Amino acid sequence: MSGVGAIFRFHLGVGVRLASHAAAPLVGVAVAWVGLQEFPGAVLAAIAQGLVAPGVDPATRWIFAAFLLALATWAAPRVTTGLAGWIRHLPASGTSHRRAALLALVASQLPALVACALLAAGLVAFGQAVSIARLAAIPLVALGAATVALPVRRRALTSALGAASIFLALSPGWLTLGAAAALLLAADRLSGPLAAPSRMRRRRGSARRPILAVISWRAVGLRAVPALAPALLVLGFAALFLANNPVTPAVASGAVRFGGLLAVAILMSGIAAELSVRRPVWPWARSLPWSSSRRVAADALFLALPALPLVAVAAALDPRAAIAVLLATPLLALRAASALRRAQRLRIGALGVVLIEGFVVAGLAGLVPWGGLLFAAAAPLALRAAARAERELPVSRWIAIHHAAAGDSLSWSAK
Amino acid sequence: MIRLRGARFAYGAGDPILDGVDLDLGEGLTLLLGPNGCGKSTLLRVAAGVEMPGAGRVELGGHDLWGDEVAARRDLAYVPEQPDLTPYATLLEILTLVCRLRGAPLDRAAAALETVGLPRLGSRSVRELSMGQRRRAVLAAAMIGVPKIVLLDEPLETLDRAMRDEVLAWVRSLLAASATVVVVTHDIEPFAASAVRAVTVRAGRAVVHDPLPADPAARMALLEAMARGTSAPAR
Repeated sequence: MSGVGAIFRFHLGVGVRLASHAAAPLVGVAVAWVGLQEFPGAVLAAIAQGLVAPGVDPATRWIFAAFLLALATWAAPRVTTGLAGWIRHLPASGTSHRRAALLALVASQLPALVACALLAAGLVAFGQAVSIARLAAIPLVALGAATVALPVRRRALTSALGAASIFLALSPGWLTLGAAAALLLAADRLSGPLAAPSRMRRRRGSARRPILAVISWRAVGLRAVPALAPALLVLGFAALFLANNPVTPAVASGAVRFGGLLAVAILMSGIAAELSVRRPVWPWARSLPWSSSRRVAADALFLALPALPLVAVAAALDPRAAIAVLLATPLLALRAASALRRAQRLRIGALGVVLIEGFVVAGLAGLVPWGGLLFAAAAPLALRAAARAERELPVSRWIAIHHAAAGDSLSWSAK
Repeated sequence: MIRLRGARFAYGAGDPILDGVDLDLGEGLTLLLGPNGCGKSTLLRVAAGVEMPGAGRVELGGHDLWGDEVAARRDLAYVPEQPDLTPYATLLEILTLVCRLRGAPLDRAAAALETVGLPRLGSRSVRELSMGQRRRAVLAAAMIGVPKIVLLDEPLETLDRAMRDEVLAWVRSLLAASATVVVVTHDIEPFAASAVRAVTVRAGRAVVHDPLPADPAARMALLEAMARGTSAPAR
């Protein structure tokens, strides 16, 4: 096997492993959601038609593309960690590593791609029409999502080209598909090597800054911005719902409470996912003169502040509902800070925990008008629980249950 | 042969760690010594093709490291101090990749794991391993194939005595096969007798002592002074 083939095979394996990690919670949520519908078969058929049938409203395809992008964004730091290090000394070019990492990001989207293929096969089995152009667009969208998510030296350029290729691939016609493919080729040519992690930058005057927030900001920075897109999309759906349906003020307020808190939860889940990878919780900080409550509160504040613009958008839709969203935000932030402490022991990670808990809180807030007060009152309890999770956090970064002491010269348990 | 010409490297916009390094390292054991933070590991990372110099040229075996990437790295093995491996790959996947890239039989992967005392951990992903196990894994990767240029950053650190003996025996076998071996270490004694030259980094430049004194006492005094970053041999 050639060197390029070996590198591709290696990264493909990493991507498939990530896909298998993502598959279990995704399949579980999808099965539960479809199962809860009144007519599950009809819902599946509508999704399948929206994805690959000719002449159907593009909304389903856009949501699917956003989902693929979320998967690729989740996988990107997991695939690229270490690619700028030891592995670069092996006899393979930087271009091979970059392309193989791109392949791994496509592979990480396999749960969604396989589901799409199964839905298309279902349509064919039931004798319904399938658009070949729409089917061909799916891999291009996956490649576009991977291109957007891959950290390369000219990230802004390749992200723009990747996003434009997704837009073109989702537009009808073979010509636009060809244009999408051309943009992806251009992105490949212009991307430059994989971006190296920034190290040892000099910082001055950090002694007076809130150091925990500064460290979190360095770790996440503008990487939180992509999580803003699906959050705003949810609020957009809430606005469309209000604009297109004659609903009572109570229902309208409930919709904004639900949409607003779901948007906040989505944004927090994205930031928490970045934090859990790029700035894992730091057990050594326990040796410093800070309380566990302070460490947790610092994370919660870091997670809550970026959500304030979403509360402002909710206020534009319904000011009273926005107050409920604002009151429930500290609880969500504290639960997210707690999830960061539990992430390494949970298969679904911090992202999954925050999303599930956020969905429950948003659902309750949508149904119960005074739910905001209840959630505000629950915040101190959440702080206590999060501080306990912080204190009980295992110090070892590897998964202790799988760790074999044999062969590890640093392990006291081998004796 | 490792050749650096005018190699310059800085982390971000900071002061350069390497500022126009000219260096030729041939066959035999080279010790790369100096106090913490002087640039030893950075020099090794630049020579390994892990960091790209901001200016200058690095050649391995006559091939430009960044112009002819694959050929230059063909006979290279590098053991970093911090083994930054892809977290979601298994040990066996990593070692199999190394076998394929170095043209070694695939069963060498399992044999290398056996050598470093990790025979049962092949199916574990990197994130499930302790730092000590990761260091053994990169040592196992370096032992695959017949590398002609071997760069070792603190190769004995965190190893137990049996494993240290294993690594020292491997280094001796590399030297017997006329390989170019560069070792960054604060642990001079195990390597002092077989070293043919020593290098340190001072103010961003490489200072080379080639050959080393034949007298063991003078040699140790010189190496000790270089390791401490003092200009004169320590008394």
